[in-house]
Amino acid sequence: MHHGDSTAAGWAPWAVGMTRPEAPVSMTAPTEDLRAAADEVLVREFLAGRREAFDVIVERHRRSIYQLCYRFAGNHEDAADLAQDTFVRAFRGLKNFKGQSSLATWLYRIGVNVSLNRAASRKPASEPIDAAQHVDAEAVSPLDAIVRGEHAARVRAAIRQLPPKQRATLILRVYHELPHEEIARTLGSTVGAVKANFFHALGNLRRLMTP
Amino acid sequence: MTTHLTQDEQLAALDGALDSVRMAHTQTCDACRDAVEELRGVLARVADADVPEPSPLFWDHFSARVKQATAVDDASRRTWNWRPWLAAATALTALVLVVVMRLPHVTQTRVPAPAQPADVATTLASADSPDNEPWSAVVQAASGLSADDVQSALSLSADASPLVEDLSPAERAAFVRLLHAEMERPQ
Repeated sequence: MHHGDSTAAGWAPWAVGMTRPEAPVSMTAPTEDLRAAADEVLVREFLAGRREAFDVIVERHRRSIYQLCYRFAGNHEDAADLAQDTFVRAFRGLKNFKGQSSLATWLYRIGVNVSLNRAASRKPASEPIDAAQHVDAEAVSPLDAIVRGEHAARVRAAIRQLPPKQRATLILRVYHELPHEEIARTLGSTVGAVKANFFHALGNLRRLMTP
Repeated sequence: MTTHLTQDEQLAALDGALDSVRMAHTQTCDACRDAVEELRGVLARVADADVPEPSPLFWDHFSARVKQATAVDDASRRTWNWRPWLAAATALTALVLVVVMRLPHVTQTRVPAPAQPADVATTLASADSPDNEPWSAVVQAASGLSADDVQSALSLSADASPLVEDLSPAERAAFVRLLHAEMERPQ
C-alpha cells in the first residue's frame, strides 16, 4: 500500500502554473508534531480547528489517491482533477468520519466514487502516447524502459474497459492491497460479490490482453 | 475423485490461503492447476503495470491546489449558511414595515380624524383579516387605548414642531437644557 510521500517537502504554494487564489488562504505550515502524528490524531486535530492538520493528510495520501484516480482516468490531467475532488470532498465530510475503517480506506472510497461518477458521465479516455512511453527508472536499459512502459499502458487500458465494479475491485485489491472485506465496505457490496467481481475481472483481463 | 476448485478456492490459491487438502488437488488435476496458473499470470502482469510518476514539482502544486479549493469551498459554504438568516431578517423587516405603515397614526397625518370617536382596537380589528398574526398582536397591544388617546398624542407631536421652529437659538438651547433636566429626573 502506498502511504507516505517521499517527495513531500513542505509548501511551495505559488509554484509554476499556480494562480493566486481569490480567497485568502492561510499558509500556516504544518508543525513537526502534526507531520509525525498518526492519521486519527490528524483527524482529531483538524476537527478541533487546526486547519493545517488537513494539509498533512493531503501530503500523506496524495500519491496513493492520485494513482487510484489515474487508473480510472488514464491521463494525468483528469487524475489530478479527480484526486483534488476527492480531497475537497474529504475536507467537507471529515466530520462524519467515524474511524470504522482506516483513513486511507475512507479516502479510497471517496476516490472510487468520484472516479466512477466521472467515468459514468464521460467517454473513457485513451491514454496519451507520452504516458505509454513513460520511462521507467527501474528498467535496465532505455529499450527495456519503453517496452515496460508500453506494456503498462496496455494493461491500464484493458483495466479501463472493465465494468465499473470489476475495475474498482481489481484496483483496490491489486494496487492498494485491500482485503476483500475492506473492498466490500468501500464499494457497499458483499464479500461474495467482491470475490466474484475480482475473479471475473481477471478472466476479462486475460481475454482483453491476449493479442 | 474430488471436485474441481471453485472460484473462491482459485482466488484462495492465488493468495496462498487454500487449505492443504484442496491444494493437493491441484497437483493431480491439470485443469485446476492450469486455471490457477493462468490467473496468477494475469495477476502478475496487472500488478506490474505502474502508473507514470508525475513531475516532482507536481506534488507541491497539487497540495496548493487542494488548499486553495478547500479554502474557496469553505468560504462559499459559510456564505451559504448566513443567506437563510439574511432572507429571514429581510422578510421580518418587510413585515414590520407593512405593520407600521398600516398603523392609524401614519394614515392620520393625511386623513382627517374620524367624526365618531370609536374604540381603537375595534377599528383595527375590523380593518384587517383575523388570520394575520402580527396584525392581531398590534390590535391586542392597542386594546387599552381609546381614539382620544391616540388623537391627543398625534396632535401633540404634530403641533409642537412649528413652535420649536419659531424659537431663537438661545431659546432652543434653554429648551434643550430643560428637556434634559426633565428626562434625568427620577420617575
